[in-house]
Amino acid sequence: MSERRPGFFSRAWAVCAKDAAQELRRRVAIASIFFFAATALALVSYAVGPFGLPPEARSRLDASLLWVILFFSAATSLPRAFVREEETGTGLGLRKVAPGVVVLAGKALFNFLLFLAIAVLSVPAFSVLLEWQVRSPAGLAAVVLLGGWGLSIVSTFLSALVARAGQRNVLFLVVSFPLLVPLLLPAIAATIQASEGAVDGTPLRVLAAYDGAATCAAYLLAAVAWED
Amino acid sequence: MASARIEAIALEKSFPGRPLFADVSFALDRGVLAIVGPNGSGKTTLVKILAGLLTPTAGTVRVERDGRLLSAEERRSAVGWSGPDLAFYPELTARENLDFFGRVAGRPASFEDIRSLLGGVGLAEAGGPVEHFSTGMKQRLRIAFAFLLRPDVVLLDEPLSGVDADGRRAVAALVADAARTMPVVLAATAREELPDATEVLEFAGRNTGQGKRYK
Repeated sequence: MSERRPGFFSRAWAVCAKDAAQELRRRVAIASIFFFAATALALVSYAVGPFGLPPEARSRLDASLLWVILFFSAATSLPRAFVREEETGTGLGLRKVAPGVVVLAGKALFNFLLFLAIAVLSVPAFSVLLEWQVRSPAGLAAVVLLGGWGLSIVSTFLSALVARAGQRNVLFLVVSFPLLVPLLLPAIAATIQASEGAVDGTPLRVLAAYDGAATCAAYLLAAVAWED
Repeated sequence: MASARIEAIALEKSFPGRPLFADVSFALDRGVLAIVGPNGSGKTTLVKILAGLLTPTAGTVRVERDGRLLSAEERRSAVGWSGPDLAFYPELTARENLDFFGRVAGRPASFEDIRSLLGGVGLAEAGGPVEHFSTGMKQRLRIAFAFLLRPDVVLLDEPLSGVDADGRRAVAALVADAARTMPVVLAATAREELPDATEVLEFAGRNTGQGKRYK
């Protein structure tokens, strides 16, 4: 047995790496996420194209569509973070050896990395297919990072909260709606600003504040949400 | 080798409208305590309370190492547990499962440690994903899980369930070896299933909804 005791982040990283190994070996879940994103992109480009709006007149519509694609692509995976542990019975062993906050951090990290992978593939494809111009790529990167973390931490926490409840999928949708709308609205506003090259920082500050509050709440309530 | 002690003080567990057991007390420094009783009598619930997986309705569990009371966080690794509803990640191998649980517990086990642990339960040659394991192989892996973090106290719920004769001998050897230096608590439906128990805690019959005491 090693004498060196790993800290919080090493333990959380172990959860993240395990989730990644599981997803990569199962393949079906990750394939369905990227298939959903590709299908949504194709449909959106096909549906918006015939309107013939010039790109500069579409920044609001494009920003909203981009977040619809990102949100729903990620949403096929996000609620399953803790739910799968309960469905397969592995949650008991995990609760035995690790506190809820370590598991929550690892799963939120995995969901965040998965969201970034979806964004890295979807945003350039979206830009090409819809001729969407981004005048402030740094601003867009900040929105994706802040929005992605907020989405990941809140969804992962809610997954822990509903994992042992009956009708957990319905419960997740009902509880997530009021919590995620305040995240998606400033994310869309900041995306519009990034597209138009007029980033004033207000929506980004709102996103950062949301992320900070959500991360603190998840840290403090992780044990209540998942442990007995 | 640290000396350990587990003590249950007036434990009681009730589910809404369904009292399960009350006033369960014992203390164990080393040796084997057998918890025996029929299905539904509360054995698994009691073992989960001892393991820190469930909260008792009343009473407390104390785990000490060298006379020092351990915190709830320290007990996660100090108390080894396995039970029939413990499951493993089906896509991962036995070694990968144990390696993961060691890392997430903050006590990573070396390749040699895991190999030795798997060898002790007869799974040295099991290399495929756990989803291809038989019932008996999964049960052996549960036993290995209980010993993974080098615990001070071991709790095994239905340790021989689904295990063949070789497996029973392997589990009996592990239990006998552990019981020489630490408290081991075993739970089963029949006394005959529990090797070398030095003390017996017998639970009464199936829950009737009226509440009961162990005897």
